[in-house]
Amino acid sequence: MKLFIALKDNNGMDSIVDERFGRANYFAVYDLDKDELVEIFENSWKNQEHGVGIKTSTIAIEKGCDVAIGAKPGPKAEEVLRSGKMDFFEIKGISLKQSVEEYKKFKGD
Amino acid sequence: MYISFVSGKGGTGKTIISTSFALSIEKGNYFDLDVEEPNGYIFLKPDIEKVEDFNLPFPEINESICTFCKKCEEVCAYNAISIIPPIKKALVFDDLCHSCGACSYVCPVDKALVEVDKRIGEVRVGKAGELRFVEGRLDIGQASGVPLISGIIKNYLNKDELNIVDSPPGSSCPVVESIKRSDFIIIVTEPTPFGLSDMSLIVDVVLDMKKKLGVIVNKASDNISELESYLKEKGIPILMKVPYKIEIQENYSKGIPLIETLPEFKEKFINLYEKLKNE
Repeated sequence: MKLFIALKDNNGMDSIVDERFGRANYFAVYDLDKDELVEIFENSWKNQEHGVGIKTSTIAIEKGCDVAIGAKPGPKAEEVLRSGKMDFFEIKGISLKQSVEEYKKFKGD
Repeated sequence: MYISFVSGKGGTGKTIISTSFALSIEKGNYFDLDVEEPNGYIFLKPDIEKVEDFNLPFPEINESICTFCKKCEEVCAYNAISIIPPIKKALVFDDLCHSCGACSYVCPVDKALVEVDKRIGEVRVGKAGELRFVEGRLDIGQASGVPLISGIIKNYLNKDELNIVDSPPGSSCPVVESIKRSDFIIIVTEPTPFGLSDMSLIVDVVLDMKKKLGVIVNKASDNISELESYLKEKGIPILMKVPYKIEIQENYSKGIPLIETLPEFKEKFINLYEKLKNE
């Protein structure tokens, strides 16, 4: 299972989760089965005027992620996530490391 | 000739003035392009002769033929298309689509992506005395009135006659669309701080478009010196002042035009038109 996390900065596992989903500065892909960070990449489309959340969600599905983590996505981004059967876990303002731990705790319940 | 009435701020009296201007001239075409809430008909009381659907083409993708090559997604400037190859999904967001047709142009697969007409509003055409009345009405929930406005200007404007356009309020895309082919732009304002502030935005737009313009001051009180000094500084003429009178407002609420409340304005509007013709 892979997580897709929207980040404010690029600082490894200490990166902070962004307050926005589609227009976050960076995204991380985290492999929960191997318990390792796969990649962090820049959001090069964040300053486009329209449909930024759609593009973000499309890429999340293309990267084979199962759960998006971050601030609540907009309705269009959410529709794309849903079409890819991705779940959403709402969280913001904590580190990437903490957000993975929070998600594990949530799953464990 | 093509004369547009704009305001910057909503509620300054664009409609009551443009309809009385049209009723005074008694000929030509009146266009209500305030497509999100057209209300010129309340004063002109036209007989509507036909109501036409206004459609735009939107892409529809057949997921059983589509090869998910993403060419349409990549060409779309508005990110209105999401193509997701691993799960064989093709999503189209009509809200974001500008009906430019680029997606169908680049699609390499026959019939995988077709453009389908969908209604976004309607055009109502009729007669108010000798005036031809044309109104655009955007459907509820539609994101933009711009294509409806440009479609009406393209299909219904009569270059050989007088065209009077009641524009939407504000100073954004729908207003720009409704005035960009105008010969003269009349800004209707009111002497309040909000009126002046919002008017200054539309003044900048109109000056940037290098259009001829003038101002009608509605609800003009005794002291409009701040407004006058702003216009003097910009070199914009005041074409007319309409007084602040409670009878105008009371009659407005009953759909009675300005020139019935203050009949002397009929001649003033005719004189204004003669003046604009010679500009």
